[in-house]
Amino acid sequence: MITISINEQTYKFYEQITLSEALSRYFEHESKPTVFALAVNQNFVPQTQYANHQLSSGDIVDIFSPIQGG
Amino acid sequence: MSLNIYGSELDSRLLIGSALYPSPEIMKASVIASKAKVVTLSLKRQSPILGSKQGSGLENEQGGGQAIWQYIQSLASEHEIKLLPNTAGCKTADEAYTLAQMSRELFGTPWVKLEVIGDDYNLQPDPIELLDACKHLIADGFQVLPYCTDDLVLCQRLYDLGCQVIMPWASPIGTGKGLLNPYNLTTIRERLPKATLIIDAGIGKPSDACQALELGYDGVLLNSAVALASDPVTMARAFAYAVESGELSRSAGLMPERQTAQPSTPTLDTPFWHQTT
Repeated sequence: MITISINEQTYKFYEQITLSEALSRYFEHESKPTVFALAVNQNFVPQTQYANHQLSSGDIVDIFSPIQGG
Repeated sequence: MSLNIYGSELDSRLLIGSALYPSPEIMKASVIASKAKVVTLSLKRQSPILGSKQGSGLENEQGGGQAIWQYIQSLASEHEIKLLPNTAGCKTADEAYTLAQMSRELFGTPWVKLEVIGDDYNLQPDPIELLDACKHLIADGFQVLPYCTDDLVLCQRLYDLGCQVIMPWASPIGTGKGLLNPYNLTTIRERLPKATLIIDAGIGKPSDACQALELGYDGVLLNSAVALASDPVTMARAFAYAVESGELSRSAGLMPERQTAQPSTPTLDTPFWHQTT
């Protein structure tokens, strides 16, 4: 079993999982932003790599979306 | 009225933020009234609570962020406004680099307003981390607009790294104190004549923006001064006029400042004038 943190919420998976698969599980419970980008362990992962990026136990996924700014 | 940002010619010298407005509608109307051609925005981690699905009773802020994004998108497409993502909230070069990479993917621009904060009290940029972040971002093809203090040596270092645009503060973010150190700002202008210099942060009044242009700065970036005004849309118009006025006065040539009074009305042969010798 591996444990992944997505936006500070802990998820447990019984087998190896890709970033794409983890996001699908996450967005079953959370609102999916119209656009978003993300980092794994504070490193940017491009959208083109979501399907191939294998997550490891202890990985921290942070999802970011646009907001107003100065 | 042309501002050059990394080869893009913009017909306004005002850059404006998208935060702190009473509503998205007022934000959009204010941006249009300001005539700005660049709008800043940011990225934020989706809150697990506030981002919960609608109907859970927990959604709020994240939905507001999505609404703002839709308004900003419509501004960009309908009014030929460019987006300038910032790295607000970052305290290290690594954090800023990661956020900039995400911004580039989301917004499709190599521009980044680089903020690396070194002090939480006055939101003063960390010059060491700022230079480090700049080095990595430029090597990765970013066009960096660094927010920095009004320190000549720091600005020179940023320029030497390849920053064609440099954005020293007038005073700390959100204070509205205006240009606290015109001497420093003037020195930076004189020593970096080829850099595009934009005053970022601390502008409180339209007259502050006018003063920045009179000092020879190429533009001003502001947010709170418009968003927190009683009437943001009217204040945005005031800033549009102020920036245009500042540029006109600069190009017209200001008179030299003098230490002693000089009469503007000729004194010779005026009534009651008597030659004493």
